[in-house]
Amino acid sequence: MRYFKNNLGNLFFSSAVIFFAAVIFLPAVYILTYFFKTEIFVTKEIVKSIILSFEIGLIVTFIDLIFGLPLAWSLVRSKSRFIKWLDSLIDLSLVMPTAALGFSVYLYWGSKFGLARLLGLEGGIFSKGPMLIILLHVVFTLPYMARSIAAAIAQINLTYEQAALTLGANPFTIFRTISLPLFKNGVITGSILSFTRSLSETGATMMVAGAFTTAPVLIIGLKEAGQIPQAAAVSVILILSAIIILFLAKLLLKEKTINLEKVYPVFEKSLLNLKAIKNIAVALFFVFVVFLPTIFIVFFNLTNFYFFLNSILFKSLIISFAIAFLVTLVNLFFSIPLAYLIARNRYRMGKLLDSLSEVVLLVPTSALGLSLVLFWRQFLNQEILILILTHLSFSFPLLVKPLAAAFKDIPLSLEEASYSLGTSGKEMFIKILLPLIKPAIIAGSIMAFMRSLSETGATLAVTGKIKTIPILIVEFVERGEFNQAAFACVVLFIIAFAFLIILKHNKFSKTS
Amino acid sequence: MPEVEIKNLTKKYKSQKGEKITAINDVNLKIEDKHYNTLLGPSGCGKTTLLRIIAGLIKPTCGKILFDGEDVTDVLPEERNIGFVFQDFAVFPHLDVWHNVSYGPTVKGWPKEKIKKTTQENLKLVGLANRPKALPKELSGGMQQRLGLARALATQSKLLLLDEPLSALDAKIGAYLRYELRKIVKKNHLTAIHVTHNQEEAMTISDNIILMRGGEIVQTGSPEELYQRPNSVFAANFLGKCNFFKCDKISSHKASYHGKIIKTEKEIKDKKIILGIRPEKIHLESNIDEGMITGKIELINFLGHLYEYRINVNGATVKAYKRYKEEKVRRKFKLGDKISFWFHPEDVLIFKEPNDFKKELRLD
Repeated sequence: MRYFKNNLGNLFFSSAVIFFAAVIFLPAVYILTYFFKTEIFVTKEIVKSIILSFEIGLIVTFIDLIFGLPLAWSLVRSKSRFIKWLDSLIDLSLVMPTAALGFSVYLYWGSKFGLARLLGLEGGIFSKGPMLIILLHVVFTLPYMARSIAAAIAQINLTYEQAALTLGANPFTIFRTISLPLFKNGVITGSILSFTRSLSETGATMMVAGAFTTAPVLIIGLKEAGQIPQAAAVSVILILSAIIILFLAKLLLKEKTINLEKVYPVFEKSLLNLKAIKNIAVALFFVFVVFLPTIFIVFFNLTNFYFFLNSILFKSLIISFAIAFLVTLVNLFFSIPLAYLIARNRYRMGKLLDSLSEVVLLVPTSALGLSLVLFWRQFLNQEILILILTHLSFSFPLLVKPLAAAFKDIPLSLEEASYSLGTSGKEMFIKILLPLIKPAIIAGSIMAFMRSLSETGATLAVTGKIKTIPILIVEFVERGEFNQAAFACVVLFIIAFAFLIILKHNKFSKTS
Repeated sequence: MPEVEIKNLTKKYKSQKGEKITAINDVNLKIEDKHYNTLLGPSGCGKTTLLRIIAGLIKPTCGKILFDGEDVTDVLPEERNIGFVFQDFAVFPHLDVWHNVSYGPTVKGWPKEKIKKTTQENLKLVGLANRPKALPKELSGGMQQRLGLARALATQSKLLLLDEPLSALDAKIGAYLRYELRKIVKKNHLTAIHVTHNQEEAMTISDNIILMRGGEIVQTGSPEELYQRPNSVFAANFLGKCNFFKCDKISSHKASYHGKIIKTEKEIKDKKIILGIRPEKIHLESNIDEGMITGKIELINFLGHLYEYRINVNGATVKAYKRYKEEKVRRKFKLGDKISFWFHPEDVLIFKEPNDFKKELRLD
């Protein structure tokens, strides 16, 4: 409080808080007011779709845990070259636009052009439906799981494990009784991220759902059919049940501790023989279930260049990029002061603002889109404006999170030192803090930009006439124009890949 | 029971830049049963690496480790049956005091009654029996290291390895824990190998000091032996304080320093020599004697139990420790006074002049 006593500083921070409250948070949760406004018709269809969404979310999280845990362990602890390669590939499905990803996964598993051709089969291996949805969701949630756990493992002091070794414990027992409890929070974070992401994903899921509808897909369907109250009802139920389940899960997992009385030295030692099998299984899983489906689109069809130059694809590209650029810029301006407030807990608002921005992340994007439409239609009727406001809303937390983490890493004494040398608040912010958080600014901007570029669910919920690239891909696939869809995907893929390389490079420059 | 033997042990690392670093260079060492041994040396001398190789946490490049004559070089650390105490305690943060101590016996699959008994005994031994439910973060640094010790002892290993166990603690607590450590080791008839860079700690705690430098052993022996009869300028300088005088041999028991004659009890063998005198062996005279080395008092430090005098002799500083009364200092040996000093011939240490004298005096 003592540093920004001047009016300019206060204006700076209060505008950020007002922006967050009025433009990001309130519109995002506006839909919850429908809980009181309308009579909620809970039809069989709604219940079925919500149950399906939760089932898929749980199964996906479970699969992510089984494979993500050993994968994360290898990422941190293994020195092999293969792992180093894996490390740079693992985020690929994160930056891949979801509609393109969904289509790629469909081609790989579901069409006769994919894995089926490799195995000499006539049709696809899986038809559209829950199985394919699960496979798809694993592809884009596994990085969340692996990264969260890997970050937690990297923080464990190696001497704990060495101490256990000198006490006579075998490596498997050590993993179970020492390492696992120490990175438990990473597992919880990873599970929550994977589960919510699976629960709320719309664009990619539409590509592979077929006759089955998950809750977010149902929201889009109801909205397009003009049944806004029902769509709102699904959104409200989905958001509330997600929040409740996450709250319970956090509570339960935090309490759970390992039982140390039960140790089976001989049995656990024998498990060590399975180490090689485990490594091979994880490697195969990553290559055939995550990596190949992600990039499969590239192999599909690339010969449509003429179509690119004089078609709506070009126009869509420009619209998508313009929106993503504008949104990132505006969000950057407001997220920096807000992240600072969170990190430094100024005005004692840090925790509150942090959890509020988490809520925005939690809201399924199609529900979010619907919420925003319902909110902004009261004041605006320009589709493009509402679209931009929607994109502002869901990409804002993506910037705030890494920025707040970066601000937290800067010792307060650095700021104090700068003040003691006679710097003003404004100067200190621009000359000391901003250069230090530059890597986080770049990383956050790229994430927000990519998310805006590739978001499908929220955009579908908002737009009628305007077609961003992901919408276009969805339409191509729905019309059966696979070649054109594939080409659009490849264009997006190349852009995503370029950004991934920049992101990686940025990460390296941060550590060195 | 355990006697540790190290034969022709070498450890080479590759640094991140690809340079080869020799951490341990062909070391041979025999550690006797039931002795309290310290590996002493400046940082980077290879003492911690040697200890970790004995524990099995680091693999040697070549050479052998024998426990009681049995080759354990390829035995995994979890099967070596050792107790290890870490510098940063490394007590498991998620387990309470009781489960930290019972961890070793549990993972070894001992029967329940035995686990309970050993855990209780060892908690009592280190004075933590009344706090079995406390988590490590609720304990002070000294308590945490007691817990680390109890945990290592609970495996009932007879070989206790300690990696700078006291250096993360407050100086006074560390000094107190020293005596407890030694008491416990002696009472339980253990063999201890204790790594430290603190010469005072090594002197008070050990039966046997192994002085290391640059991956090699410089000298081994009892604290008295190393202090009274250091084998090199480095050893004399690292253990305790020492003044050095560059001299030329005159006869078998006489040497000259800037024209002044110094008599020695032991025989002088080399032509160019360094004579060493401990500060407490120097006697000051306020009457200038032309036959003695003379200098000017440039600093007087009051250390509580004695005064430290720094005397400028030909541009170099000579230290002397004196137990004078306050009055005498005020009257007789004042700052800026010119004085002479002398020492007994039996207190003179003789070293051959090393190739690089300044390097010998470096403590890092």
